[in-house]
Parts: sequence; structure tokens; C-alpha cells
Amino acid sequence: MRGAVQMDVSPSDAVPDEPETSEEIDSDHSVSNDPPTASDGTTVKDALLSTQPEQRLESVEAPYDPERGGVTRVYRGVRKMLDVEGLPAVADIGIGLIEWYEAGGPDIGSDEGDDDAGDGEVGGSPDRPGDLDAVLDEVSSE
Amino acid sequence: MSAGTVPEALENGHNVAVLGATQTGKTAFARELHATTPRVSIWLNERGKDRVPDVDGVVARTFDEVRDAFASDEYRVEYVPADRNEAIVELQDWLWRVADNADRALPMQVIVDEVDRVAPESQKPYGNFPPRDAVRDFTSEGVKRGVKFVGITQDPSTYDKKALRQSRYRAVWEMSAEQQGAVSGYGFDFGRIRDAPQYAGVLHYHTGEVVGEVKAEERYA
Repeated sequence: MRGAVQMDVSPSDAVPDEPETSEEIDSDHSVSNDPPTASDGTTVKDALLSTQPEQRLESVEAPYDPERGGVTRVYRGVRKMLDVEGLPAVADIGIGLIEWYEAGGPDIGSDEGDDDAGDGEVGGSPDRPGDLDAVLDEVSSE
Repeated sequence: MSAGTVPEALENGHNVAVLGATQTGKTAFARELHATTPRVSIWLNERGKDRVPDVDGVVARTFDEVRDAFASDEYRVEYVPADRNEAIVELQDWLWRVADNADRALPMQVIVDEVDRVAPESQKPYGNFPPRDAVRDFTSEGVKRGVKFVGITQDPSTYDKKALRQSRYRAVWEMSAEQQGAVSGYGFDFGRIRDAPQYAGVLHYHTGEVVGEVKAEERYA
């Protein structure tokens, strides 16, 4: 399949110079009025509005299932309406805090051996305090 | 411009869409294209169980490794990123800069298997669907930058129609009746495809004219 293609340039000749990083440009250490950023340039606002990582809509199956549908399907519809690949991080945090509070909130002052689980008092069941840790572990492992 | 012969069609800078059912010989054909072209060829492969095996060249798992391959004058790169949808956007943008840096004198080729997964048919307008838009950019503007795009799919009904239309050549293998119906407007000679030898496809020009049969050598199967 060779013959017609002229190769006057090699790949190494064509590699473009990479743009300077923000550290190289801002070498005079001047104070910036910009919001704080991560090393990759992400602002706090970017992080709160981030929708990654998220399962792509195409890979989310949605068979009719009254027992498991409902909120999941509404969520999927909202994603389609807003044309986003996922809920912004700030929404996940807000909803998660509400869910955590509704489930009984932080287990402040309760004994480990307390058997009065699920009676609605502050602190909730003995296994509740681990839920937030489990969620944070899951998020940090993504 | 005439369709030319099969070697001329495969060597020139025009895009090729490779269509056909699984296990018909189209991936082997693409493997041979990748292995034998004089261009710098990048195969954008999937990770895991869907990874096309036996693709020639150095393996790059990150974009930095693709850059390193170019810097090392590698002409065959198997790029296996974590997310092809993100990778193709970055790759397209960078190859445009490579092409401009080389004054468009470096012929390149990009091969994407299961391209419909990266560029599915969608109602989203241009600008709102980055990976599909990157494929469209490849097929519409790659030629003038010396970048030939080869998109492979066994499901042309779900492949972005604009990207498919912008492929000057279409190498077609046997496919199901419903897929034939989906591409009925392209003028493919399915009779000739059916009569072709096993694992051979038929290369068509975008006018529907048959250029000839294509079949990979045994070692690329």
C-alpha cells in the first residue's frame, strides 16, 4: 500500500511546543485576584459544578420497574432536559446532606451499644454514623 | 475526481468508512491498513474486553505517551486511553496543531473501531457533543490537514450520518437486512458484496461506484 504519500517531515519534527503552564507565566509571585485554583487550573466553582465522573446516559438501562424506577427515571429525565452528563457536585452534596439528616443525622453522644435503633431520636441507629464515611470513601475512590 | 483503483483509493488522503457485520473481515482489513500505510497511523483502541487485538505499534495509554511516540518518530501507535470519548477530542485538537506545525506535510491516519460508540447519531447540535464533533471534524477537515480518518462500525444505523457521508470511500462487508435498509441510500452493491470471497469486502466510491474488492492478508486476520 506504499507509493503515493510523500514524507518530507517526521513525526518528531511536527510535535508542537506545549503552551506554558500557569506556574511558568506567574513567576513573579504577584498576588492574584482570581479565585483559588487547583494545580490543573480548576476553580472551586468548576469543582462544585462538575458532573464527572458520571455514568453515560447511553449506558444507563431503564426498563419499566415501579419498584426501582421513580426518582431514578426523573433524575434521568432532568439530565436529558439540562443536556448534562450528571448532577453537579454541589447538588449531590446538598441532596446527600438532606438525606443524611432525614436518616437521623450525625450520631452525637449515642452509645455504641444502644439498641434503640430506628425510633427517630437524634443519633439514629448504631450503624448510621458509618454511612457518611462509606459515601466519602466511595467518592474519594472514584 | 474519479474513484481510482483500490490501492490508489486506500493510499490517498480521503477518509474511509468500514462497514459490516462482525467477523466478516473488516477489522483485519483495518489492521492491514494500519500496519502498511506510509502515514503515521494512530489506532484509537478500547480498553478491556472490547480491545481489538494485534494492532501494530507502540502502546500509549495516556495522551502524554502519544506525544512521546511522535517525539520518538514512531509511525505506529496503538492509543488505549481510559475514555475514548475524551481522548478523541484531545487527539483531534492536538493533531490539528501537529498538522499546522508541519505545514501539513506530515501525512497521518486515525483509525477508530466501533466508531458509532464515539460518534453516535444524535440530535444534539454541533458544539454540544464533543466526541461526535471531533469525528465530524476529522471527516470534514482532516483531509486538507493530511489526516485520513478510518471509522469502523458494525452498526452504521447508529453511526453519525454526517460523518459517514463525509467519508469519500466506503468499504462494505456483509451486514444484516436491517442494516442494509439503514444504508440503502448509499448505493452499495449488496449483490456484489454477497458474491465476494469469504472475508472480502467491496470498496465503494461516495457516488456508489464500485472501486473493487478488498481483503486483508491472512496474517492480519
